[in-house]
Amino acid sequence: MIHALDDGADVVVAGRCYDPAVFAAVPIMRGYPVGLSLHMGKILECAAIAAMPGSGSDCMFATLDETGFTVETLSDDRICTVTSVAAHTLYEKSDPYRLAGPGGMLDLTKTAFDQLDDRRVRVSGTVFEPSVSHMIKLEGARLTGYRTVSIAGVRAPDFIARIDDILNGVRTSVAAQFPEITGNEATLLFRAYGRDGVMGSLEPERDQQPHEIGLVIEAVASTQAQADAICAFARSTLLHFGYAGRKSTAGNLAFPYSPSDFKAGEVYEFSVYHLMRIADPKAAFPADMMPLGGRR
Amino acid sequence: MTRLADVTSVIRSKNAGPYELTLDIIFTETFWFDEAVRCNLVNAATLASLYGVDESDVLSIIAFAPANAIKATLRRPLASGALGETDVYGAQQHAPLLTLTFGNE
Repeated sequence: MIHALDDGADVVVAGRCYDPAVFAAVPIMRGYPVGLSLHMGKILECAAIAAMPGSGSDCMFATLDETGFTVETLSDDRICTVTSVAAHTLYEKSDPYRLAGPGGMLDLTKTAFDQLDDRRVRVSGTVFEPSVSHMIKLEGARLTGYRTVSIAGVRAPDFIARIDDILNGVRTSVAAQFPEITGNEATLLFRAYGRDGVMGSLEPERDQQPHEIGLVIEAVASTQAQADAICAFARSTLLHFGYAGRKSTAGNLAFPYSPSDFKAGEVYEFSVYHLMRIADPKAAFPADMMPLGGRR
Repeated sequence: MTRLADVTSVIRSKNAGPYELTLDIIFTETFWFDEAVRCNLVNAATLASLYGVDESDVLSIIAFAPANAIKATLRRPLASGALGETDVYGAQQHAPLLTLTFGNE
């Protein structure tokens, strides 16, 4: 960012950027402390999230000097408090005191947050510790298949009480028709909303029987057509699956939609998540300068 | 008996990268933050039991005094967006914390 601005850019369009750099680049370029500039940038790039009440719909204003910065809200509907500003470094990070970023670590262990008046907070003491060699985060995802889903509700108490057995029975029938499931080239999943659809294996109340369950039947396969076929087979098998004690013999599922199945398209999963050591921070991000609007 | 939910302004969960889930508890008053730290309310054994994971999956628990906050980070059972994963952004994994209470001391 600094490189582009140094070269005279009026506007920088970047494919991917460390979010705080959008605000920190200019002060760092002008010699302000890196740690304070980045901490300020980290707060400002989240709009008014660090205010109370927090919001992503309007902005905050910061004034930076050599020893700290002051943040204030621009809306009369919110204020900055020590807690709201300090809590911001908790967000989406595992350690609020040490925030790793490109080229080093933002260290908040000596940071002070002081309430100046009703709506302004002063932040000081944050420092940047450059890493021994410059590292940037490399993230990548790969295509793992194509997905089709079907959504259906269940209200029958006898079905809900035996749902694990029923779903296992359906899985066995589907796998008999589609050997790629057993061979791990395709995946069939059932999600049971109302039981553990949100938390999966982390759910502590999985054993409490709900009065209804929202089921998502999900098939992922190497082609969309194959995912469609597996999902359709699983859905129709489950719809008419005869379990012990069934009273409702006209169908086990309530479909909110017809057609009942949806192509969800390509499926990607994280495949690269590494730190990459680079000699020259600029070299990894080649920049082109171009005039816009016919005026140089 | 005081419920954690009654003395906090924020109890939330979110991804910290695709492989970790981070839990934030922000107290309304320094008194209750200090009390939670003093009695070690949020500890690895309690979190492991609430979430049905091994204690080794509780990666860190950090008290952050400037925000009256306690932050705990768990290893995700499945990476964000992996097949079978249930919460891509990890934003709805906080509910078990709402059941925590300060013991009768």
